Amino acid sequence: MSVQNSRRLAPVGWLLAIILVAAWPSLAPNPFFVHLGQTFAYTAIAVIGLNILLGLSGQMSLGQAGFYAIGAYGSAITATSFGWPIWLSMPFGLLVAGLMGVLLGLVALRTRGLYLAMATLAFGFIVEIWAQRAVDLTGGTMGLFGVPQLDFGDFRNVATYTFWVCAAALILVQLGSDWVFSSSSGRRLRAIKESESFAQTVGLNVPLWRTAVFAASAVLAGLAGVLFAHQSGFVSSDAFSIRLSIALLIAAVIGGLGDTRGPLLGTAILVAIAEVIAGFHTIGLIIYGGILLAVLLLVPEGAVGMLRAAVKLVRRADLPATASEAPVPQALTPRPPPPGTRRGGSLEVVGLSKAYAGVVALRDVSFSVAPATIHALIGPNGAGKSTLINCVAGLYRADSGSVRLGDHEVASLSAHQRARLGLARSFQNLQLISGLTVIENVMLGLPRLAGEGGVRAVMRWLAGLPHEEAERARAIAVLDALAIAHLADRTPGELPYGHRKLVELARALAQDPSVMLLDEPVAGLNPLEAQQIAIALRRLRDSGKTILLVEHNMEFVMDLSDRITVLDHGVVIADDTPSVVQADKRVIAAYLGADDIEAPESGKVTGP
Amino acid sequence: MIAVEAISARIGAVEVLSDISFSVAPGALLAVLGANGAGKTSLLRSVSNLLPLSGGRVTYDRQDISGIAPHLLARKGLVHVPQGRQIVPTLSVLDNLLLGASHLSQNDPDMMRKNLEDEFTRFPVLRERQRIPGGSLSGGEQQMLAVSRALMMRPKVLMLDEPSLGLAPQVARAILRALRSLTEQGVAVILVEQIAIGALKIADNGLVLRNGQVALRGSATELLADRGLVESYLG
Amino acid sequence: MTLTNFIQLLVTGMAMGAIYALTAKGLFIAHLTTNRVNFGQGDFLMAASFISLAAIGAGLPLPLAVLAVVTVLSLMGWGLERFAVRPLDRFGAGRAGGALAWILTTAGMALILQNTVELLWGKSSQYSPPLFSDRRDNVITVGQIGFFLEELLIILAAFAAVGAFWWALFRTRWGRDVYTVAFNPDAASLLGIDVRRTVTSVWIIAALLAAVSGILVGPLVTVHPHMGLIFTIKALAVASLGGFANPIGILVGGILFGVAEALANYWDSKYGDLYPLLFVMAMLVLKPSGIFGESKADIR
Repeated sequence: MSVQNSRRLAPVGWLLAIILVAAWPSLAPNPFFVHLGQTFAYTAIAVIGLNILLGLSGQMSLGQAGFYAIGAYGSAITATSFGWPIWLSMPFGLLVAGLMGVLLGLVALRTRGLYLAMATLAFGFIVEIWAQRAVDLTGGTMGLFGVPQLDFGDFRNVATYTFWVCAAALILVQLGSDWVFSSSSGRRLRAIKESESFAQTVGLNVPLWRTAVFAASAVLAGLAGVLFAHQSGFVSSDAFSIRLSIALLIAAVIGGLGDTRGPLLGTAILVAIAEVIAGFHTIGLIIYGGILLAVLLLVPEGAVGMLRAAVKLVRRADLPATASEAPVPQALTPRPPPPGTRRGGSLEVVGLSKAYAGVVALRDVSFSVAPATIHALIGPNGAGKSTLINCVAGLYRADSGSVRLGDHEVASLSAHQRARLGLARSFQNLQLISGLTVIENVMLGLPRLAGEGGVRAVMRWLAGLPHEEAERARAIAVLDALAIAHLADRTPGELPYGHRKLVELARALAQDPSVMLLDEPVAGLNPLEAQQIAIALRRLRDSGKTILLVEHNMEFVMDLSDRITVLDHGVVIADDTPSVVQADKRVIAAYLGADDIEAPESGKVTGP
Repeated sequence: MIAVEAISARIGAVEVLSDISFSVAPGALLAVLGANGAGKTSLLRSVSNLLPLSGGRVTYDRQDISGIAPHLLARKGLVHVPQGRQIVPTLSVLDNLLLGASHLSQNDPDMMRKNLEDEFTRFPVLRERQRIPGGSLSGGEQQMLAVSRALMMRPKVLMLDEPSLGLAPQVARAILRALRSLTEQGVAVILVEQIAIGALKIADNGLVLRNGQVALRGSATELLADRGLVESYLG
Repeated sequence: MTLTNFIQLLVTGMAMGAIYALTAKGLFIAHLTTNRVNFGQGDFLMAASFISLAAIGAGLPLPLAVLAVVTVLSLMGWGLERFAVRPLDRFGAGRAGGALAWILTTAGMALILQNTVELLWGKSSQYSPPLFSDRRDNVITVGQIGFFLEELLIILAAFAAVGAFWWALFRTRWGRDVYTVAFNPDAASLLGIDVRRTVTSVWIIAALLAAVSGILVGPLVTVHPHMGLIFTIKALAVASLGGFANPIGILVGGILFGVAEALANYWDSKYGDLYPLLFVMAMLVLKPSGIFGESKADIR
C-alpha cells in the first residue's frame, strides 16, 4: 500500500525537483553553492552508475575513475586540440567511455569477484598513468587549459547554465535508475547478483546482462567526467587517481547500495564531507578510510537503510502490534492454476552419461516422462539424482546422450535456452531473491510479455500509475492458484519455510512451463505443509502440467507419483508405478543393503 | 560414554531434529539409520557442536559438552568422521594421518609412532601409499584413510557418517568389519548409515530416524526382523 | 642492447620480480584459506619500508630493524583480520555491500595506513640506505659484467624468504592445518584444528610476507607513502597468473613479470612498465583461471 502511495506521488517529486533545479541558482546564497550543486550533480551520475553495477548486479569496480577520465579527455581533447563544437565533443567522450566499458566488460564476462576487482583496479591505474605521461595529448599533470565551458554564448551566466545542464542530466539519469529499479530489469539484475545459476534457469542470458550493465556504468562515469571537464575548463591528470574511484565507492556505500535513492543521499554526504574536511586535509584519507570501514561494518545498508529503519519504527508505533505479523492460515486450499499458454509436454532422457574426473556419476540413463503426469526420481544418497536433474536443466552438460523436451532436442542448449523452451525448475536450497517481495520473485519467472517496458508502460510509470498491471495480474493469478496471494507484498525472509517453498513453486509456475523440475519440493516441511504441496501439484498435473520431481519423503512420493524412476550408482534400477517399485527387490536392496553381508567377525581386516 | 538427551536442532526455519535421545556405552556400536534427509547427518553435527542445539543436552564422559568448540571435543576423543571422507587432496596420505593426531592435548611422539604403525597394520595399503597425495587414492582407500586418521586421534567415541557411501560392496564390508573390531578395544561407535542391513549386522543397537524423529529403535536383531524397517525407507 | 646490458636488466628484473612474487604469496595464502585478500597488501609493504628505513636511520643494526618491522606488521595483520575482515562474517552475501565488502574494508584500512605514514614521515619520497653493503652502488664483476651487489643479495634474500615460506607451508603442522582449513573448515575443526586461530595466523603470515618485501624493496626504489597501490596491483596480477592457487606458478609468474617489466621499460621508457599489466589483463580474458592455475567449476 505504502509502495503504491509513494509511486503515485512520484510525479510530484519530479516536479519539485525540476522547480528546485530551476530556482537553485537564484536561491543559492552565493556562487559557491551553485558550484557545489554542479559538483553534486555530476558526481551523483557516476555514483548512480556504480550503484547499478555493484548494488544491483553485484560486480565490483575499483576503476570508475578510469571511465570518468576517458569521458573527460574524450570531450576535452576533441574540443580543444581539434576544435570540435561541444555538442559533438561531449557525445564523443561518452562514446569512448562506453567503448572502454564494453572492452572491460569482456573481462567482466570471463571473470568475477576478486579477479574483476583486480582488473578494474589495474584499468583505473593504467588510465591514470597514461594521462600523466601522454603529455602531448592530455597535458599530463600540468593539465589541458581552455576547455570550452557551457556558457551558450553568455559567459556571465556560465555557472547557472553549467548547473542546469548537470542537474538536467542528473534528473534524466535518476529517472533511468528509478525505472531500472522498478522494472523487470532491476529484478533480473538482483537475481544475477544473488545466484547466476538460478538466473539462467529463469531464462536470463547472464553474460549479456553482466556486460551490458558494465558498459552502462562506464557510460555514466564517462558522462560525469565529460560534465566535470566542461565545468572546470581545465583537466589535469591529478583529478583521476584511485582516490576518485574510492570516493565514488564511498558515496555509493554510505548512501546505501542497491537502493535507487542511495546515490543521491550518498553523494550529498560525500560532497558535504569533502567540504568539511577541507580544513583537515592532513587526515583526509584517515577520515575516508574510517567512514568506509564504519559504514560497511556497522550500517551496511547505508543512509537509506537507516532512514528505512527509522520510518519502520515510526510506522510500527502507529499500527496495532499484531498487524506486522500477518495471519498465517493453517490450511490452504489451492485452486486450479490460471490457464497458461503452454500445455504439458513430454520429457525424454535417452542414454545420458556423465563422469567427473573419471568417476562415473551417470551411466546410460534413459527414462521418459509422459505429458501431464507426475514422475518421481528417487534413489539413495550418491545415486546421481542431483547430477541428473542438473543435466536435464542444463546447468551441467552431459558427456553423452540426449534430452528431449517435447519436440526439441535440448542436450546442447544452455540452461537459459532450455528455460525459454518451457523447462522450469525449483531448487532444493531455495533460491528466492531476498531483496524482492514475493510477487516480484514470482514476476521474475514470467516470460517477457508483449509491451513489457514499452513506451506505454514507461509513460504510465512516469505518471505514477501502475505500469506492470499485466505482469502483476499474471503473478497474482499464479499466487492465487497456490492460495498464497495474500503474501504478495511480503519478503521471503518473513515467511515460514512452507510458504517459501510455495513461492518457489509459484515462480516456476509463472514461467508457464511445459515441464517442471522440482528438486525436493517438500524437504524440511511438516506433514501438513507437505500435504498442501501435494494438493497443489495434483492440481497442476490435472490442469495439464508435466512434473518431474526428486524427493526423499517416500510417503509423499508414493502417494503422489504416477510413475517412479529409481537410480542407484548412476544406473536406472527400476522404472514403474509406485506399488511395483515399493516391492522391487533391487530397490529394497539399494536402500537397505543387500542381504549378503556375513555376520560380524572379529580380527583385523586388510585392504582389498 | 556418550549420552544424548532429548536434543532438538534447527537449520534456518527448518526443525531438522526433534527430541532425540540415546546413549552408547564403551565398546558398544549403535547404528543410526534412515532415508536421505531423515536427519542423520544433522544428528552427528549437533553432537559435535557444529550445529547448535535448540533443546536438550549431550554428555560425554559424564560431562555436559554444550558450548565446547568442535576442535576441543575432537582433541578430547569425541571424534567425528564427516560425510564424504574429507581427505585433504593436496596433502600426502601420511600428512593426512598426522593431521588430527598432532593436535591431541597430550601428544607424545612415541605414542604417535605406535599408532601410525597400528594403522599401517590395519590397512597396509596406506603404508604403501603414504607419500602420494590423498586426492589420488581410490574411494575405498580414502575411506580407510579417513577411519585411520580418526583412530590416530585415539577416540573414546567414534562417529562415522556413511562410511560406505559410494563404495563397492566388498570394500564397504571390509570397512564395517574394521569398525566392529574397534569396539573390542572399548571404543564407543556411532555409525550413521543409509544402507541399513549391513550396518545392523555389525551393530549392537539401532535407531531409525525419520523426519528428524526416532521412528524405530531396538537391538540390531530386533530391527533386522522388523517389517517397519523397510516401510520407514520406502513408505 | 648489448649482452651485458641484457644480463644486467635480467638481474634488475629478477630482483623486482622476486619482490612481486613475495608480496603475491601473501595474497595467495589469504585467498587459499579465506577466499579473501588484503587490497592493501602493497600498503603493508609500504609501511614496512618506512619502518625499516626509520629503524636503520635511527642506527639500529639490521637484525633489530627487521625485528621491529616484523613485530609491527604482525600486529597489523592481526588487526586487519580482527577488525576489518572477520566482522563481515556476520552479514550474508545477500546483504548490502555483499560478498565483496572485504575488498572495500581492506582498501579502507589501506587509506588509513597511507595517511598515518604521511603523518609520521611526511609526504615526500625517501631513499632507503642499502641493507647489505655500505654503499648503494657497490659493484661486483663476474666475467666482464658488473652487477650491483645489493641487487644480487636482495634476490638471494627474497628467495630465502620464499623458501622459508614454502618450508612452513609444505613441511610443518601449520602448513597442513592451512591446507585442511582451506579444503573444508568444518572437517578441519573435527580433526582438532582451531580454525579461527589458523585463519588469524594466515593473515599474520600474509602481513609478514609484505614486511619482508617492504624491507627488501627499500634499496631498489624510492619510498613514498603512496607507492603501495602499484605493488598491490602488480602482486594481484602476479597472483592471478598462478590462478591464486599455484604457489610455484606465482613464483615463476612473479619473476617473469619483473623481468618483462625491466625489458619493456628499456624498450619503451614511456609506457614500458604498463605492458606486463596489459598482458595480464588480456590473459584474464583468454584464460580466466590463470596461466598456471587449475580450472575450477563454478556451479553450486
